[in-house]
Amino acid sequence: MKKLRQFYTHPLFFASLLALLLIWYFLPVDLYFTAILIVFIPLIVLTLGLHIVTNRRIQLIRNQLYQIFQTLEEFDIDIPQKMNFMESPFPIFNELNEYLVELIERIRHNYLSNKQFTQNASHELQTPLAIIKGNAEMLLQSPNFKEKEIEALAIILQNTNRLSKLNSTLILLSKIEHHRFPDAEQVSFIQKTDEILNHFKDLIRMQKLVVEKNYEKDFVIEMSSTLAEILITNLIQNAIRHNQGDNINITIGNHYFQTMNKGKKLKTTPESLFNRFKRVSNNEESLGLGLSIVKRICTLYNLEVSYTIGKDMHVLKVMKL
Amino acid sequence: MKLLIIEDEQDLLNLIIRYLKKEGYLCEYAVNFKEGYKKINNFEYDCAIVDLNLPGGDGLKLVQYLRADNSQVGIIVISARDTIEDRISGLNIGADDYLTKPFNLSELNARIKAILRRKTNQFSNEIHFGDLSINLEERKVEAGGKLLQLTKKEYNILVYLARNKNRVVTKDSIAEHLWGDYMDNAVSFDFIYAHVKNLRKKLAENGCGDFLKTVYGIGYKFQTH
Repeated sequence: MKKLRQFYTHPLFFASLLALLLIWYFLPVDLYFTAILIVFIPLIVLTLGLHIVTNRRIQLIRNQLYQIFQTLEEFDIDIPQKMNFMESPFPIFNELNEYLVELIERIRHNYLSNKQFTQNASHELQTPLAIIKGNAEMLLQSPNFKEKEIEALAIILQNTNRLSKLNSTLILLSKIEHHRFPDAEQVSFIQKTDEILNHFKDLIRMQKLVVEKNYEKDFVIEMSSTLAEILITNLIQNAIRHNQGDNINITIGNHYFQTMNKGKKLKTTPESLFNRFKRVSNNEESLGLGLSIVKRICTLYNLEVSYTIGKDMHVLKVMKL
Repeated sequence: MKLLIIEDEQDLLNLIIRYLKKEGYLCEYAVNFKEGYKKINNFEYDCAIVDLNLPGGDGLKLVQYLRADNSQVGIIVISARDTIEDRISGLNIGADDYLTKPFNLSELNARIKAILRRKTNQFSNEIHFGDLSINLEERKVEAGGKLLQLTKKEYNILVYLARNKNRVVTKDSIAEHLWGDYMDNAVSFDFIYAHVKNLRKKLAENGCGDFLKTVYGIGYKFQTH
């Protein structure tokens, strides 16, 4: 193909064509006609040939681009695997690929060290927190304190606890994002839910709540048992905490888990509550991280989580896609 | 009772020592892996409190040495690592208990006492205060010779407060002791209040002195004098 093209585009080829034309111009008509045929047939063939060749090349280039797109689509910043671009027959694409690999590695490196920093910082915070908490606890034992001073200490202690809870929740989030829960097993949501409800027994009794359990069929998923526990605990805790009625409802079906409770009208869209630090109330207990952890865990296992409000019933549903 | 505390953070170390000395323990300490290793090799302890992130090595190794050296020693790991996997590996290697930072000193104290009671014969299975006696083995409480009918939670609160006698124990720390993370504070405080009220009533009905003092806004105190 290449040789053929070289032949047709060679200046000598054009020169001889021109010579032929000039000769036949001064000759009788039918010969002239023949000459036109002789000249134009190869020209048409040549154009058609060129068209096919160019088309093929465009197709090839398009394919190469698609391949790059595909490779880029598979890219996950959390999975430490080097991007693998296919070797291309066009040097320019290979150059582009090399550039992309380099760029991605640089971004990944920055991203990871950033993440690492957050995690280390959170970890390092636990020790100073322990020291503050311990010293406040020591001060509490002092017999000379007046009520005002003790009150101040109580506030210090409460907020240190809050801070340490917040901190360990952030560590948890970062661990989920780091894929630090690799062990997966078949988790039965019915079994897990019953276990967790047992932990909440006192809280439920205290608030005189009725828990309606509606188990249609077991929802079984292969996931980390720890994360399943956190997922269900957060959803149940959420339902109990924001409940405005006398009962909460837990439904488990073949492919979903759902909690339902009576709640207040929301000022924001329900979906936005999956974002970090988004809170409905000024409830001191709520860190505003529970649902974002739920969301994170769901994303990790390809589950869909939705928050819908019908009348005054708040429904959180986790389901298999 | 001789304790060894291995912790590299000086402030935390001092705090723990100060708190435990008041309980009448003899406290020795090490601030890094090497020192800890030396102390373990040269002396005998009743209980060791080991931090995991130490300069010069992993605290888990020290736990291993401790266990190999003396099967009777009580070992409590204190660490900022808080996953279930970390706990399991700590307990598997020979620790008796695992506390995550930041912990309540009253919790640490209660756990040391629980371990020492299990591990050594020097600790009595019974706690006595005036007319009140608590049998830890059988989980029974008697007041003036009469057996009290306590719920599990009431019993746990009583023992926790008794183990930290004459100290103010915060509501937070009681809540954490009873339920871990499964309770909202506001609700659990109401719950603790109700339990303590019942406990007081049961003690009073059986002619037991009022040991349980309320420290307003903070928590409770088991007062013996």
